[in-house]
Amino acid sequence: MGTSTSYRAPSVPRWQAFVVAFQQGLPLERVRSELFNAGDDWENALAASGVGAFAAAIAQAWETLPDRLQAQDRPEAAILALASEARHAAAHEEPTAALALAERAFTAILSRTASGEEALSARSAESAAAEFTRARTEAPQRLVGAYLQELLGQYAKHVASRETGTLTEGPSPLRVGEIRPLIRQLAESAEATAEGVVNPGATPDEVKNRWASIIREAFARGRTIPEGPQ
Amino acid sequence: MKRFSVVVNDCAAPEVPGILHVRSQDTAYGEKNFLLRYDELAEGLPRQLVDRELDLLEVAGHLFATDIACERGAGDVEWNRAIKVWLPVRNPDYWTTQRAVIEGVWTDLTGDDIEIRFEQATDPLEAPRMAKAPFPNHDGIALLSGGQDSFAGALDLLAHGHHPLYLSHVASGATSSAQKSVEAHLRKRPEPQVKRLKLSARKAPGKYFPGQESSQRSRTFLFLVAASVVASVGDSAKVWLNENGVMALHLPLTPARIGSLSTHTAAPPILSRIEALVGDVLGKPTALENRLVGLTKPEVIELAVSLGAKDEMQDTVSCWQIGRTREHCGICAPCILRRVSCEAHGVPDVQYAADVFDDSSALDDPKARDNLGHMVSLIQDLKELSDVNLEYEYPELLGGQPILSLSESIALHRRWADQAAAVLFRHSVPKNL
Repeated sequence: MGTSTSYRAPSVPRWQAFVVAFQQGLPLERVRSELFNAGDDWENALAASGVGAFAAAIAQAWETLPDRLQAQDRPEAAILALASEARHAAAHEEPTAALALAERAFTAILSRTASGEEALSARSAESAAAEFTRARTEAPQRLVGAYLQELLGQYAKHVASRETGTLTEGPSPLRVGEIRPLIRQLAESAEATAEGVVNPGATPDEVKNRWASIIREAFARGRTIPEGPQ
Repeated sequence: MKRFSVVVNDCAAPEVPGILHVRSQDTAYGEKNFLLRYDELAEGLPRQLVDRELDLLEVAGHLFATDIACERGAGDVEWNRAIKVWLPVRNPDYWTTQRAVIEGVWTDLTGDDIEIRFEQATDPLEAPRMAKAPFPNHDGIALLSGGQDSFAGALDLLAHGHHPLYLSHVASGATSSAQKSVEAHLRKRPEPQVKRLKLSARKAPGKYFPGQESSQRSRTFLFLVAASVVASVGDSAKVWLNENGVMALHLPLTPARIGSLSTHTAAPPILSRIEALVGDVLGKPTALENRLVGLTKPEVIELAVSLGAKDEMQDTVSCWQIGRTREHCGICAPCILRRVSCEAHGVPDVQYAADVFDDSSALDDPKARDNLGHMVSLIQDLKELSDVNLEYEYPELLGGQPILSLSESIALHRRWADQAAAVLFRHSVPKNL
């Protein structure tokens, strides 16, 4: 948190539609639809093979993380090492602007799966390994699916939190304390669009091969507005 | 994503369009447009620098030049870059074995994709001449930027009986003044000799240079490499890069600032990787240490006050753009953090161009509103979220490894949030945001 920068949404109609929907407090499904409708560039960035490399590393982690956790003094060391390896694997793939999102989602989903209801900081490496083994679900594709959800949530958090300043101005300004839960609700809604996406694959190779079409499908789902009164 | 091809010192002639040319020496094809001078670093060493050490310095310097030459786009999708760069070295075969590690460090620091091609240098510079007088007796190299943390770190080193050599980046304007002031303040301490070495890496004045990217995320690599070479050849085997832990872990203020949108200057995992790289290249280990990683910035100021530097802190600089504007903008994250930290301990501070604490019109500038709003957001999260939710919302907290455990990282940030809130929320503008 030293020198840092952020960029508000570009001044183009699709992104402004998202900002206005968010600012005016339109129904969550509508805001989510605008979020996915606006993000053509992000869809392409997230569909890149560099992000697919992180998803493939999740499929690998399903199998290897318990042993990696047990081999370290602290669970965070094992997760950080896996993230570093995935980042360097991704570097051999097609360059993409979404690598930071991909890595953040990678670390968050592994950390959350290994921590469960208890903070990871309070767990030993052994306890984190046991929790991960219990919570990783019965097959790697479920963990990859959870990663996809997390990735879409991270995308929503990234582009929505860019507008934190915007939302504090205008005729009906919100307080930062009100904006934070709105962003998290939007992220949860974005995550939900990944539910029902076709099987992302169980092996790292399958995941990599299917990744672009999975992202396309998730964005297509995200753009739809549920039928009914709006 | 913007894509670039950069050739340094005309060491290659790839058939790609739009090549950017960086020259740290005159060639048959053009004049020098980048100053890379490290003579001062070598003059008091016990021996001349050898090819491997010269190559390491030049690789880091030329990568820094590449960082400046390749301008990032406007907007977060255009922030990241994909760069191909051709670098001249004395031994391409050796450097090709280090290519993946160097590319990895670059990516960790900049968030960019880079592909390095090492080429045979046809006209490499000779090793700098040595001076008659050796460097004063020292036990390590401390980076001295002109900022608060490196000054406090230097004071702490002296207080603990260390006697470092200092290393600064040659700068202009307010940063140069701050470096000189800090050096003068250090000379007042009961240390027999203060020696500050200066490394120059910047665009050549008056010459065309292909870019002016200001983020310069790779700069820390150059300075750590330079300090490590001096530490290794001078046998002190120790480098201090002193920065408070909250800055070092670089949590994004919000998810809008993830990755290299926030600087990674002193992130512990990156320091470890650079330490391993330079140890391997130079053939012996050199330790890179951050003495302040367990402290928040207000605690660093408190340390400086306890070491008798209360009034001297106002001679330091923090603003990210001070090299260009000569004043503290008051709206960037480093300015806001500085102001909070000084006010927390009643330390005399600089005059800020904008007052985002008490003048609501300062938030008419969207950057000011965004920076302050995002900082308030982080403080509220740190104060309100449970540990388990904090770990999930800010996975960057894991990045204290291998120095800080996750629980230590969380405790550090919660302390900072309390300290920052105590100052910020007694002012009308952040309080009402």
